[in-house]
Amino acid sequence: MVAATSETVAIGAHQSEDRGARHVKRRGGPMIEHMPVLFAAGLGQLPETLASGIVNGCIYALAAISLLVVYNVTGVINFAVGDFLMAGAMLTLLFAGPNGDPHRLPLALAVVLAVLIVTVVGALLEVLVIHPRRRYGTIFLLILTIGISSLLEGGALIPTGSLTYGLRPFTTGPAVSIAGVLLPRQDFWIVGSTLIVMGLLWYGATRTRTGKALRACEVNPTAARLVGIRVDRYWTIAFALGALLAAFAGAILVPVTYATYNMGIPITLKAFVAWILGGVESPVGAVAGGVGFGVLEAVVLGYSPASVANYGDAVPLLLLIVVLVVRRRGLTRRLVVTRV
Amino acid sequence: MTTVTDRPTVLHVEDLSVSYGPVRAVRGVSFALHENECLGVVGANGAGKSSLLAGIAGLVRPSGGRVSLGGTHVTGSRTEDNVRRGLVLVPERRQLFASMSVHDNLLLGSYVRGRDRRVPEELERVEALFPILAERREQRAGTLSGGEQQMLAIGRGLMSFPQVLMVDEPSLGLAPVVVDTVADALRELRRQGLTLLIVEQNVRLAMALADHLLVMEQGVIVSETGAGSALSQEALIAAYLGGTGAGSTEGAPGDASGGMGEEISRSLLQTELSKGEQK
Repeated sequence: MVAATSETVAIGAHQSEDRGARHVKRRGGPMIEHMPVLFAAGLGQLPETLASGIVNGCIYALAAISLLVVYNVTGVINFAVGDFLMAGAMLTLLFAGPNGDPHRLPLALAVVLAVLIVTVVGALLEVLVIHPRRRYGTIFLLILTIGISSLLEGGALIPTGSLTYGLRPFTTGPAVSIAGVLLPRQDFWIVGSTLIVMGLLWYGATRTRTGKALRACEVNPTAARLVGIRVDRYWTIAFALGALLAAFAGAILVPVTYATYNMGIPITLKAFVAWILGGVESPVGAVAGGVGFGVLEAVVLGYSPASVANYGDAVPLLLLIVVLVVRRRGLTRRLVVTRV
Repeated sequence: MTTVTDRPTVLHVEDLSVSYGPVRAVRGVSFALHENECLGVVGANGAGKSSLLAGIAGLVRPSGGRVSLGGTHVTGSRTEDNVRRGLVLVPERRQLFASMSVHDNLLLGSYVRGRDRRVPEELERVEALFPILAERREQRAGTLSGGEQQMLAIGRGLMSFPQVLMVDEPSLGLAPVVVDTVADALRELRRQGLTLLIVEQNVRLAMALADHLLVMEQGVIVSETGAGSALSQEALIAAYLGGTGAGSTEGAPGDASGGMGEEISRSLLQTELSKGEQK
């Protein structure tokens, strides 16, 4: 099995024949493409499998945190999280150029611009779509976010068609070998920047005025109003932050996956499972749930027969059912009880 | 000797009504609160006292009447904006940020003051007023005792430099010795020049704190008393409260009679609040 190296560089647009990235499918990674008939990976591949699980898990963790921030402040389950991620990936591609076109923007600028635009779009959608209907209740707002999801997918389909796109890794070069385990360079970008983002989030939530006010809106919205916090405004901030996190995940993910207009929903489902695994309200839990789910998925797909692995999308759904059965009270407690 | 009524009016409430659907919790209440005055509102459970404060603070949109603060018309403005103007409510049940530290609760109290240089001074002043809060600084607010939570709620209210501080049932559910501490602190704040509007079930406490009492019954003010005659005050209150006026600071203040109306108006108020912020 080959680790992602030279083949991940400069992949242009090509027709999607297998309906594109229905998973966070890693180009040249251990999971799908080189699947042997019986087992995808021998036990000797375990370190690589775990590593790729952790890397995917970082993406799920960012998306799960995005769900958590929006939910904790507004009570809205944001079904469009995967589509914000897709938008981040697509815009990064647009600005940086799929082939590393030298006339396009520098990569760092492309990422910043993409994330910024998605953040603004997230804030605008909150103001225009969610906020006027914020009293309609959880289920109605969930359906609204499904609408936003379709809107973003449609918005991406028009300019990109059903093509898949790839981007060069942030730093090119051969995979790095650590103790005999080959790790693609982008993996370090993904894990490293996820850690940095989590650190910044922690700092923001515990040390800054805006972060504390955001948490105040989570903990007790009435009390937040009583100290003069405009809770309305923090709904918008929560959506913007949620969109930002998802878009950033998309931007760092795009070098190791194929981006298509419809890559969002499977990621939404996985982020949703990761979020619930982590206990819905705990940021640490969401990160653990994300990474845990990533590893579980990699192991299941890596060590199951190809005929099973082809149904890989069923993994999150099965897990979701298990989680909901086992943790039903933990979930519904917060979803049903109105917050006073 | 000048009386408080000679001072300029800070808060003027005219014919204020608060309704929850068909239920009229407050019906046409009027009063004026003067600078550095301490006005007490007493009445049985369900008399509409908390709803009156919620209506003034903007937690609930009044169905009628007028509230002005220092001459500015603020009827129906949102609580968030009223806090900026200096009209601050320390609510019943305290409404703290339970999972956050005492320190963070206090700092969030000065949210509207941004990076005002007076904030650290005010923090010192609050911690001097309630030394226990300094001791418990890093503790989660939800783990404090009832009395400490009440002190934190008042302290948090002070952190926004209020012009008028409205305190809803400061003695509710507190042990007598703690009630004394809270009462002393309110008296001290008064001495420092704060204008206070206190809703209190515990009539003795209200009389001890306030220069002036309003007695509410079923949403209307049925009587007003001046600072003059303590005895007739007590008689008056006893008459209107059906004897609860005899309840002293030694008794548990929370368990007075009048359950039904209280429950209804309280639950309506809670329902109203749970709808989140107003438009």
